[in-house]
Amino acid sequence: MDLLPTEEQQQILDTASNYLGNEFPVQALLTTAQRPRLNHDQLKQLAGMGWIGIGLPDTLGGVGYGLSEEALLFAELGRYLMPPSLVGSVLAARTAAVRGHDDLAHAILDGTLRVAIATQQSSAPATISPTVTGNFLVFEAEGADYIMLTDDGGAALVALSDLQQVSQERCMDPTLDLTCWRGDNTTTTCFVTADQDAIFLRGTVLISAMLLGIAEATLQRSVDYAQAREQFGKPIGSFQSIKHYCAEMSIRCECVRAMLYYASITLQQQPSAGPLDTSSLKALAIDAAQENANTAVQIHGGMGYTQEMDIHLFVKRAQVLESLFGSERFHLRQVLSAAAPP
Amino acid sequence: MNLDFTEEQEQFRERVRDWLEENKPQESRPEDSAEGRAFDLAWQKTLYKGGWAGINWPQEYGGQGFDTFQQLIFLMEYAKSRAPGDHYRFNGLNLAGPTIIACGDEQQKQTYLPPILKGDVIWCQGFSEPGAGSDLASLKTRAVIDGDDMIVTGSKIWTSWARFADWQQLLVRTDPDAPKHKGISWVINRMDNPGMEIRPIHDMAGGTDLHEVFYDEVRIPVKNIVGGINNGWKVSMAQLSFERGTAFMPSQIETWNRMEDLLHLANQTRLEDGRLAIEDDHIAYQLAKMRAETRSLLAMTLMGISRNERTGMPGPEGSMLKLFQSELYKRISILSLQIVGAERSRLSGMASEWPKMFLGSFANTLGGGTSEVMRNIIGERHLGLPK
Repeated sequence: MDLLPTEEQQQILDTASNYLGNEFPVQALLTTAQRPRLNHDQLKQLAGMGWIGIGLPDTLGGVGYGLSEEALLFAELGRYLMPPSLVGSVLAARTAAVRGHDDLAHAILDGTLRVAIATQQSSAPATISPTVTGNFLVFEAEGADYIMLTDDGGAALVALSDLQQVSQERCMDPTLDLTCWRGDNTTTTCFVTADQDAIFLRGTVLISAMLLGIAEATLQRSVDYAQAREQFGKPIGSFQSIKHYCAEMSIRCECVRAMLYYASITLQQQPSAGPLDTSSLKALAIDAAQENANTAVQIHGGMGYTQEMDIHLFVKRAQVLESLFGSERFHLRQVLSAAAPP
Repeated sequence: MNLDFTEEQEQFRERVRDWLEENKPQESRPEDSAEGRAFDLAWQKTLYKGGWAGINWPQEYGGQGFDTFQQLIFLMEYAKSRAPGDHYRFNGLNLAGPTIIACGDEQQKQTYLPPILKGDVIWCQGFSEPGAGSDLASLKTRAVIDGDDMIVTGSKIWTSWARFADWQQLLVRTDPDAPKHKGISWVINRMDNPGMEIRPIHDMAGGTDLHEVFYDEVRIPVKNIVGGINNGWKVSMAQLSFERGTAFMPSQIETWNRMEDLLHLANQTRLEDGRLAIEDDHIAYQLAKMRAETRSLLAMTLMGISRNERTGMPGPEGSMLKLFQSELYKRISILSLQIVGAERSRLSGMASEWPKMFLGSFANTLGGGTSEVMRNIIGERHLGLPK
């Protein structure tokens, strides 16, 4: 038993973190164009490093690591506000590979094809099966070829050209493109049921990892600011009101990181505990990211409310990520009905 | 990153499980304090004879010298079997004993360690004072050297089970002129020493295990100082070097057991409006949230143990787990009152365990460092925020 990353896993994490820090600093979003966060060439570069196929078995054309390594990578992607459509690419490659669409899987794995990610509109639930019907809010459809649609029953990969665009929307998160699309008995390119492969739960783990990245990034910024900012002749971090906010933020991070590691293992190894752990993880990750980001605004004071600092981007992203792969309410329902693990 | 145990470790688990199943007491622990003491000592004797006493103590001092994973497995199985908690045995096994092992001289070790493992004595603690709570290092109980003895005058408070204890780990001020952390000594005191007066304190849950202890020119031999004179602050931190993160396993499992019991209760209990408690959105939301948090408590405990195993040092998880678990436990107990409804007022009925848990839960966010002190420690030592 060892819940911490191995040396090899730590290396994956460090490499990703260094690369993202150099190539995609969040600070850059304050001075340059905020969209697209990831252009076509950049996606190919990430794909070239094996990031899309990192958790896919090599027999299916992937790098051959597992969900734990994928989760470590996505926590870093979340920290650098990389688009959640990367989760779409990872799941799309898996869905295509599991269904034997090798060429399609390969083109997604090498970044040639772009995949968007969607959530259902809560006012009009959609059907996701071998055909899809209903309205979807789609993130990063601009320039995408496919769209990944999932719910707890299954996962569908659909060609974007087979759906109709209903509208162009304005996204709360300025780094993301948001559109509304409609399917009407639209045939999917491939469909996998939840029993065949836990695509939805894997996506839940990866989005939770991105939420952890937000919780940790906003903690780090808050601690740095609390040490540097002085009022009443002292760093504001010496005041217990601020110090205790930061302590609570760090416990939320510890709690979610531990649960992320734990759930990334049980989902692969103990199918009976998987849903309880995965849903517990997402519910806790949403809470941690949102509470930490919201608290970070308060700690940064008036400046935290402006677009001159990057805190607002984390606040907004934490909301977007709750809407993908099940809200807090949805997952808490799952937690309540899950059987006790052995 | 793995949750695997070796075949050897699984065999060890079987051995622990079988032994506990055969040997754990069938009756529950008596509520009466004197009977409780007898019960605790008898159970310690059984553990000793069975070869399970002092699982984290080195073998040279009569312990089992189990490695981290054996300790973890033992504690998991122990808690699952719902065998009796440490209760009065806690201090000797987890605080005084380990401190003497780490800092005591050979004679102190020979004299004081074996009786703890054999179930002959109960230890208590004399740290806090009426004027020194969260600011423990400002303690004022004086010890003046007089030949081979120290003469101790002052008072201590929050001493659990003092009137049922044989020995006490006591912090006294041996140098009033030194900076506050540097004039303290850690000494062994006999509880039948002349000049002491013990006053039980009634806690809000109805217990009388807390005490105030007064010392009026009490003589304690200088040879009872452990780890050197004026070195007591460092000595009192030494028991931490024993800590492998496994100490949280029992309370983690206890919290999980309570959580699952409460969920079960919510599925059976009807509210005033006739619906099952679980069908109430407000209750369901909180139950689910706390179940998720309880699940993560397990993951956090395992991550803490893993970190400890890698670095050999207790990390920030100690303070974090203490704070997280005690606050969660309190919230679970508060939620239970909403589920039992009007039954909350009855300390005598079938559902009385819940209001009792509620009343007792306040101790956890105060004792062993308040939640506010824990947040300071996390903020300052772990995050590096200024004092």
